[in-house]
Amino acid sequence: MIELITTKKQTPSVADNWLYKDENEIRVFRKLVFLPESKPAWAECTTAEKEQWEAEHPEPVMDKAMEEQQ
Amino acid sequence: MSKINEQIERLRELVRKCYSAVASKNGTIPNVGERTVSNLGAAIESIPSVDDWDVVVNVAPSNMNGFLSKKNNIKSFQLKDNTSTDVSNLLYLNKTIERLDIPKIFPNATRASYFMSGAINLQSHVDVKFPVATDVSGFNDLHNVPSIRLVAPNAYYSTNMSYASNATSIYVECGTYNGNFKISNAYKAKLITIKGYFTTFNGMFSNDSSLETAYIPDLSNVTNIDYCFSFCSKLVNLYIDGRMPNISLSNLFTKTCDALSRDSLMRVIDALPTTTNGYTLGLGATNIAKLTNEEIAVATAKGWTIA
Repeated sequence: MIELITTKKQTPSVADNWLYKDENEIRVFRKLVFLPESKPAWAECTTAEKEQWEAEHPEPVMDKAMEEQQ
Repeated sequence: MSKINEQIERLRELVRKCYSAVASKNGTIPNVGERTVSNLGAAIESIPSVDDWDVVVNVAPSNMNGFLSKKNNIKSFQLKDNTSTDVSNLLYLNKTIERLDIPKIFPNATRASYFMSGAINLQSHVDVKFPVATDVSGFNDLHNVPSIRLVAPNAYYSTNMSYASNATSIYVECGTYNGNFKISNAYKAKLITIKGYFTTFNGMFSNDSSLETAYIPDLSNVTNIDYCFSFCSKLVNLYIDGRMPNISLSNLFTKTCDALSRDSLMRVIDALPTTTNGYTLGLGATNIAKLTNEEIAVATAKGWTIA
């Protein structure tokens, strides 16, 4: 039996925009995602909104984090 | 004049060959200025004999805990006995040790914590096995070792192995690591192999900017893998001996891992478990472009979003 697998391809409605999803306390920004058929589409934001979010949520510096844990 | 210059150049070439020959035997000619004929004599005079050791231990006591810890006037150490049961802190924060000749196996050592942590000037290969020790922490900040091979199948805890800045290969085989273990900032490591059972894997290879090939173990029980391969821009070959964890993999390959081969990407996808949590595997646009729709569908069929 051949199982039909469907994948949803999603891109921003406006080329300059970004797709995003909050996952594991991190916001992932992408221009292209492939979703399982059953999963909801990612939200969309402008580049300015993306940059503002990134400015407000800088990535952790791994080594600093390590030192703190030790 | 040209013949003299030819002779000088010939002598220079001979000197270069001398340096290369000594280097090929793991010897070192100290720098005494420019490597030319004029200072060759001074350089040769200052070569330490490889048979000269600052400290030699022929028969070791059972307890070697802290034996050369912070002994910052010691540059070389030879240990001929491997019967000690406690080798904790053996070279802990010894910042002057350069050469080391120790047994490759410590069969009786039950304690090996902080073994050589912070031996920042050590230039010898590290190759050591602890068959029974449960704590083998202490291989961090070995800035100048050319390679590390650590086998500790009974170990359950370790601090990190970060900042092996000049090591070109690192091999770690351990039992269960629940600690904050990492091999990050190994800037020159091209090959890293990790075997064992891990519950955290976050930042494991972060900043390993020369890494080309990585072998990783089963990660089914890992609860944090964030930024695992951050800045591994040369990583091509990734091999997984088991499954990936059922957690978000959205920032597994951040900043960026665009050199990953298609086969490596498929090994990751094949190792994904089925998830109902709507998790994301973040590959980035360049890596996604290496895959066909059918290959991406292997991941989405298991409930994963590819982004």
